[in-house]
This record gives sequence, C-alpha cells and structure tokens, in this order.
Amino acid sequence: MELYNLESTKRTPKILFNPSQESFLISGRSIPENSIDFFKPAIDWLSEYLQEPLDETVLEVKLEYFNTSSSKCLVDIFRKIEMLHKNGKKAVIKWYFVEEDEDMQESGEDFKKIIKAPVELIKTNKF
Amino acid sequence: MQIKSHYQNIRDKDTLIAYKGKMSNNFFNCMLSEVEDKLELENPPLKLQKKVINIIIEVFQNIHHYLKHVDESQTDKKNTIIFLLCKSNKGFTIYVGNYVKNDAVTELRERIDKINELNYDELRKLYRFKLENESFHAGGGAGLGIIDIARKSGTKISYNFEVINTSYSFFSLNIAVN
Repeated sequence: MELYNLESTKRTPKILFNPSQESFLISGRSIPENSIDFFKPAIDWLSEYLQEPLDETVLEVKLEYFNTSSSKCLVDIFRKIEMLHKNGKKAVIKWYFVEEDEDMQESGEDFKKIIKAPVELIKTNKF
Repeated sequence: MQIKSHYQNIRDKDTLIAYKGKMSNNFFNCMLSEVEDKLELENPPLKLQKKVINIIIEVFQNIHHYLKHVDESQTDKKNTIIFLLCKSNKGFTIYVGNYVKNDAVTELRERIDKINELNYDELRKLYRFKLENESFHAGGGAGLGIIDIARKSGTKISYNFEVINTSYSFFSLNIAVN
C-alpha cells in the first residue's frame, strides 16, 4: 500500500503512515480550522489499510498541542487501531508527553480509557 | 465586566497583550505567535505556558466558529473582539469579549453555569463521555471547548453579558490560569 505522508504546518501535524517502513506517526500541533476536513484523508487511508494490515502496527503520537475538535478525530483514528486489535493483529498506540505536561498526560489517560486497544503513555524529555 | 473596564484593565494591570479588532483566520495565526513570544519572555513553567496557549486556542476557535454562523457579523462591527492577556499574582488571566446575538445568551449562560458547578473529576468525566459518545458537527468541537477551558484553567469561569441593543450583547469571559 502507498504511504500517506503529510508534512506539518504551524497548525497541523505531520502525519506519516508508512507500512513498508513499519512507521506510523502523528506529531506536532493539531489546531486546524476544520479538523474533520483535515483528518478525513488520513482516516480514509487507515480504513483501506485495515483491509490488508501488517501483523504489527505501532502508532506513535507526539503532539505538542491539539484542539478539542482534533481530539474527536484522534478518537476516530484510534478506533481504526482498535479494530486491528480486535481482528487479532498486534496494534499499539504510543502516546508521548513531555515531562511536566500533566494535561497532555491526562489526555493520554482519557484516550486509554476510551480506546479498547493498548495505549502506552510514554514520558519524554523533549519531542 | 463592562467594556470600559476592559480598557481600565489595560492601564492598571500587567498586560502582555491587548487587542481590539476583527476576528479572522489570519488574526488567529498572528495572535497565537504573539502569545507564544510574550509567554516565552515571561518564562513560566511549561505546564502553565501550555495551559494558557491551549485555553486561548479554544477560546479563539469558539468565537471564530460562532461568528461564522452569524451572517451579519462578517460585515459590521459585531465581528470585533477584545482580547487581553495579563499577568496575575499566581499566573495569567485571559480576558476575551465578543458580540453575541441576544437569543444565544440564555443558552450560553446555562452552559457555563452548568460547567462551573462541576468539580475537576466531574469535568474530566463529562469530557470523556462527550469525546466517546457524542458526534461532532462540522467546524464545531461538540461542546468540548468550554469543558476543556474549565478543566485546564482549574478555576471557575467568570463571565458577563452586557446588552448593547435589541439584537446584540457583549459577552466577556475572564479566565484565570494558575
């Protein structure tokens, strides 16, 4: 499957889904004007990926900021990972947060409660 | 708080940013950079800095989405907002004001009052519930914005409506972030 690669902007994150490198990453800021429009292609890509996924999918999320409308879209993305997990594939979401940033840690905990796939919270010094 | 006293605040308080003007996408981008630059100079703890920026992002986006639904606002002064970022003893205070239609006042008031009644854990639960169960409308954040603001600020949201004329009121929010 072709990779999905979107570079970051001041208000939107980098999104890289690259099965051949076994690399799945969302990083940067996610505060777009219209989150639904912004995330739709990525969510569509994942829907297609679900048809023929790798045995193992690790999605790394390293967000600096995200707005509340993005959080809804993140749930939609994480639901795709959940689907892989349900289908018996190994699927993990790694939620990174910078030390001291308790709000980002709490957000990770919120997703962990909502999503029925492994969500690992990983503390880091810097992105 | 009256509009006049917003200006009083600019003079009296330790104001980092004061803005009165149109709300637009461009404004959002510029103001966000400005906020980041100013906060950087103050060098607060990372946690506080991120809270302030997050709250400002939500507040601006709420207003921006609201104004998109009010047709007249695009062409007249009703598109004007007032925004202040001030230093306080313990942290920062965000003042933001914009015009809202009078018929939106009751709902807004009720929504904020309801949020203000909740403690931290209840806010978190409500946020999680909405995130998990409620669908969202194009452009809007499914009502998560105001909950997020209350949650991140950790204080009650104080607000005021000042009737301007038969159609509009001036809605101001005062958010302390400590």
